[in-house]
Amino acid sequence: MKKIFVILSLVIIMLAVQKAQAAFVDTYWGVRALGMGGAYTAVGNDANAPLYNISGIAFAIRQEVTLMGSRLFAGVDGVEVAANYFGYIYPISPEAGAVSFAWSSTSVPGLRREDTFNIGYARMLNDVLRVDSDFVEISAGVNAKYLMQETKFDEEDKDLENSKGAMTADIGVMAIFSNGIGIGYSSKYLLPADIGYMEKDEVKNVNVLGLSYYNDMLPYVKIPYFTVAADIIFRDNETTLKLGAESYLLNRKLAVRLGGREEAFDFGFGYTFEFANNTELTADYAFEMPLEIEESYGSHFISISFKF
Amino acid sequence: MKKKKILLFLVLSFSLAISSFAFANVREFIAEIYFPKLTITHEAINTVSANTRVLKPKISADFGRYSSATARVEYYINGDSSNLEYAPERELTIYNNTEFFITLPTLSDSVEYVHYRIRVTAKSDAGGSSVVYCPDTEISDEEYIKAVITSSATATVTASAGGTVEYNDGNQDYSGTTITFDPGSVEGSGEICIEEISLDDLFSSLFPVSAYVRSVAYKVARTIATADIDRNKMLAGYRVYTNAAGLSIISQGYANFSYGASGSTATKFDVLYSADGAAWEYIKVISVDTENKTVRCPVADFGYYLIMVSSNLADNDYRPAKRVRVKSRISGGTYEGFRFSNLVEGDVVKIYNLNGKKVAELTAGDINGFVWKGKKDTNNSGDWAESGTYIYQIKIKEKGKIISGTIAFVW
Repeated sequence: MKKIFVILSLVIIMLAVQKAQAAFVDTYWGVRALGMGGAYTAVGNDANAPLYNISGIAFAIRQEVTLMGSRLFAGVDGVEVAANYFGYIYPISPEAGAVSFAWSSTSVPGLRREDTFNIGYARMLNDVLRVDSDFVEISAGVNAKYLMQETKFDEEDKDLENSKGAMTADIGVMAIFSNGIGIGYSSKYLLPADIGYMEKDEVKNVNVLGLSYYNDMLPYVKIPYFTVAADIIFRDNETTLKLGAESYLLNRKLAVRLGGREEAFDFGFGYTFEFANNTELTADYAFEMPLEIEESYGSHFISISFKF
Repeated sequence: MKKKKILLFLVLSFSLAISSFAFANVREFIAEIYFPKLTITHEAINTVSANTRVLKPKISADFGRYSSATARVEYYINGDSSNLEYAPERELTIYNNTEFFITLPTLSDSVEYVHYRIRVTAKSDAGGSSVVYCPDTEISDEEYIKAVITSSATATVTASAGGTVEYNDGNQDYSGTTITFDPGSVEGSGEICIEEISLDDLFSSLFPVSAYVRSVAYKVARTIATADIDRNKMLAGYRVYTNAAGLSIISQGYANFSYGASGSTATKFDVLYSADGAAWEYIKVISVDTENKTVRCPVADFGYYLIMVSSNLADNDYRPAKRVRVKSRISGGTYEGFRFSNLVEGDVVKIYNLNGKKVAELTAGDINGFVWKGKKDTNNSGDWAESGTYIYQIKIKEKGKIISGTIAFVW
């Protein structure tokens, strides 16, 4: 355990220098993930997972739908940015895997929006690889994505089309070991997706390596159902690190989360209501405090998820 | 008595006619080459401001069958043609106006005029070239155009008829400055003079540097201490005076003060008045003509008048008017980028992506504010930013305020 933290600390130091990114770069995809600072590549196994690491949906055992709304950078006068997310998983069978649909959107009314429409498929690979699932559970998945940007041009750019779209794809793999260690890898925007209005503008390929550790009761500090995770994101020679943690309290009904990256820190919580017929309704909230933008009271995300 | 009135009327009418003629005296020069044909047209510049020293000739060109053409302005000062100076050569644009912007060297008081001509070199696809000068001595008697160095204008104003003083600083793009006194607005008669003030001279002589401390006090006061006037916001200065002992202003005249030489694109202005440069007061701005770049205000006293970018600006006066910019239209020169107006040294603009990560920062610009050209890092020094929605935050130092908004930069 100590070794993991030492390695993680070294990685943090190595990746301390980050550079800015922009087009299809924000990852406001699901409140649980945001509460964990977006470190979700080796964690996601629910309707928040498809855009982080599609292979995570293979772990789902029930249908799940989630819907997120948000208000970004609240308190900053003149800035009205909203991010929305919808995710749905349908597990076909343990052998056949699961399919998902997801939509995410980041928009500024009257200016510009980015939308991602996503259909994904994933399945467990233990039977193919002949690996004992008591030792490790391995999954893999693929996304087909349609990216669309829509810009409201001024009079002098009226000759340009308002919207541009392109297809692309993601792949992802995940391995969850019986000792609680998880490793995930996701490569996004693998196919060249040119969304330029006047010149070639391909969305940059993003590779994410995720690490996680889960324990039903964290030794020494006695934190129940504890997960800690890190995502290392490689994009166009730029590297970003995201860190997150989660714990479930009150007989796994109340979730508390913490996370962050260089320019923001996050926390969140969620509460699950259990119903008959093995159905669950979860309400989640996440708060993100930007560290560089001034005069903001933070970004607020809420979601309702239903498992059935 | 009646004869006197008729005589006065005739004299005034004649004066006005002469004055109008002087303003409307636009001379057009044409230079031509035949086989193949190239035509250059230029309106002569008759005056150059002693303060701005800007000679800004424009020419329009019809290339005919030539594929390209370049031009340069050649000039000499005070009749000394042995010291001919050349402004840098530049490409001409087919059919459209091509404008040259030449700042003459600092002129001494003895300089009275400058001679200039435009030399055009046209090139054909076959590799041949032809040279023509404007004025073209085959068409005109003149070899050079003579422009008078000027910093003031004078006109006679009388109690019974009033009068108008017109000062043309030589700027071809915009109107000059005029001050009109209606009949009965002055007592006595005599000459009234408008003198354009060098802002640098004004600043150093009237506003000692040691006393120059920025303050926000003047934003709410009707008067302002000399030390609190922001040099960065001064666009133009004029001194209005008379040497006629018996002439005084009893009501008020109306001035259209030109700020065109500054090149400012501001839309809100303050006008400050001082009798002697020691203490200043705000006077009412009646209207602003952004087409001709003049500010209209009353002239109730002789003294100094300063035209300044207003300090009483709304948030939107700082925000970029255009919220969407396309990369290739910035790099191609169709437009400049996102202009944050009315900013001065000490103000800062920061650009963030939607992750809240800072992408670019602006700390410097020109008289009209700062421009983000879609480049990363400080003052557009880095690579192109990616397509995306960006958040900007403008820090106005003198107001201690942050103004935010969103823009879209796309490829």
